[in-house]
Amino acid sequence: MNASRLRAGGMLLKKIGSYALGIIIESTAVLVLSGLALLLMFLVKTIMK
Amino acid sequence: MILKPTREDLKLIAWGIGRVILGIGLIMIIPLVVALVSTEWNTVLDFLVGISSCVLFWLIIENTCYQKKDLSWSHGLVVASAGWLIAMLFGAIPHFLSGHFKAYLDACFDLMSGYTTTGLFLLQDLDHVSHGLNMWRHLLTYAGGQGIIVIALTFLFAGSSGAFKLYASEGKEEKLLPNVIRTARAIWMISLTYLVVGSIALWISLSCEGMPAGRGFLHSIWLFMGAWSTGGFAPQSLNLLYYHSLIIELITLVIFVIGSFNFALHYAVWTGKRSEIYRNIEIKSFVTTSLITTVILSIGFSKVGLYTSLGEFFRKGFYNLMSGHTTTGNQSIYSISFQHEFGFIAMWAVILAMAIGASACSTGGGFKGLRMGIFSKYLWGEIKQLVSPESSLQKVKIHHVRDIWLDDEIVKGTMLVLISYVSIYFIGGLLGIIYGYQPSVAFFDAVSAGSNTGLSASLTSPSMPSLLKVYYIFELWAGRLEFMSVFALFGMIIASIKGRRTGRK
Repeated sequence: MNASRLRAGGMLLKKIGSYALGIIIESTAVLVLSGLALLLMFLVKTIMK
Repeated sequence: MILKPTREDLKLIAWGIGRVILGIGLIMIIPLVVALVSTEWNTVLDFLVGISSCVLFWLIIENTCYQKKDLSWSHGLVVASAGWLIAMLFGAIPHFLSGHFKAYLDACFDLMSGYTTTGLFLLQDLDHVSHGLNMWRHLLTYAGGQGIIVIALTFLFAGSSGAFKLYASEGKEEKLLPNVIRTARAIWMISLTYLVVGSIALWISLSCEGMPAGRGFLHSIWLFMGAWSTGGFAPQSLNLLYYHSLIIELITLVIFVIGSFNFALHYAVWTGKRSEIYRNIEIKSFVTTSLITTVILSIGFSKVGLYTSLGEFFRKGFYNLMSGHTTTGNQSIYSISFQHEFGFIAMWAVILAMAIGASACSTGGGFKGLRMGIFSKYLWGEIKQLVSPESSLQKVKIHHVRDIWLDDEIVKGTMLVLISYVSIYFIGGLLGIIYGYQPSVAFFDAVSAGSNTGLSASLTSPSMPSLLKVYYIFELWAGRLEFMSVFALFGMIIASIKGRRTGRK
């Protein structure tokens, strides 16, 4: 009984960890895109001066 | 030969719509509770009338139209398209009763804009709207983002084998899990998880900016719902400009870009397929078009010379560009600024981004990254074919959760939808020009409506011509459902008039 509860708890923790990592990956991807855009804007601004 | 729909067909469709309207009535309970807690008794009464109307409609339909038959493809398509229209009529009841609208048409416009996650609005005096009505505005855009059919599937169609037909009819063809009901629930699981995480982040930031905790709590939920659903609604008439906060802009930027991703992509990344984030064709397409439009916008800004610092380029330019590209509609500038401060080039960069739009099977609108990816890959394949020896055959493959070989059927479907979008954008722009608006402004708002974005160059207002309001409602509805369901509804109407009764003696 305890073993199966522990296993279920472990599975749930693993699932939550996987979802949290997914959220971090997606958020990082957006920040990387924003950084790239900022760099491009800087380049265009400098060239167009 | 077109067959006339039978009485059973019509009853089955009505039964499906009845369930959708019941779903709308049940969602109204949340703003009703908010109005009760806030002791807004007039708003309580408005929602009681709204809920009663929905339940009464459902009761009548359930008792007169219940069928044991299952929904076919054509039934599913018509339930989705007609269901959205009737849901608009019922959902607009609390809006209209609030006294913030000039006419019932304006209330319907806001409802369709909310359901379709557009964000354009004709509501007057937004800054003095009750908490209950504000909750309803944001909730319906949050619910509409997942799809009102998805809501009905999650709670009201359990066990029905016609479920997938309804699900696909709402412009979502991808199954995250083998079972469509479980797919609908997975979509809700992803959205609710982000609701908790995003709202907490916004709440903390609003508190740091000095907003009282209670007000900050409501604003954080509403801002999240508006951004995640790519609806772009906000509780204040100045939208994001009201907050004057870089951190709030950054958080909402992250939320609406993630919200514009395909639910299948979220599910893949969350469940271990991490490489999808850079392999998926929609992400590649989105990054490419984002960077191209960023360059165009920057050239436009540099030419006009009104925004000079990199911070202004980012906060006034990139933020609104991404808001347009993800078809959100959150604005960090005044509407009039698109016309007077952006200049021609930057304004058209935003129009292009809005027209392309977000990912398929997401809360967003527009052509969709998947179709742009298919179109560009197919074009590249054709060019390669032209320069290759005659005997060689160039096959084109895309990666979207799995590898998919492009065939004529996929390309034909993609082109049909692309042409449909371009047509509604063009007709909307032309109508605006006929009514005397500047071409850039007319196309800006027409593309914004058709792609379900919600940015406005100040054309959309309660004083705009009624015909334009009706056309924009059509654009919102057809654009969100990606045309197939709309074609099916028109086909059913034509069949009812011109069809033949054969083989049914």
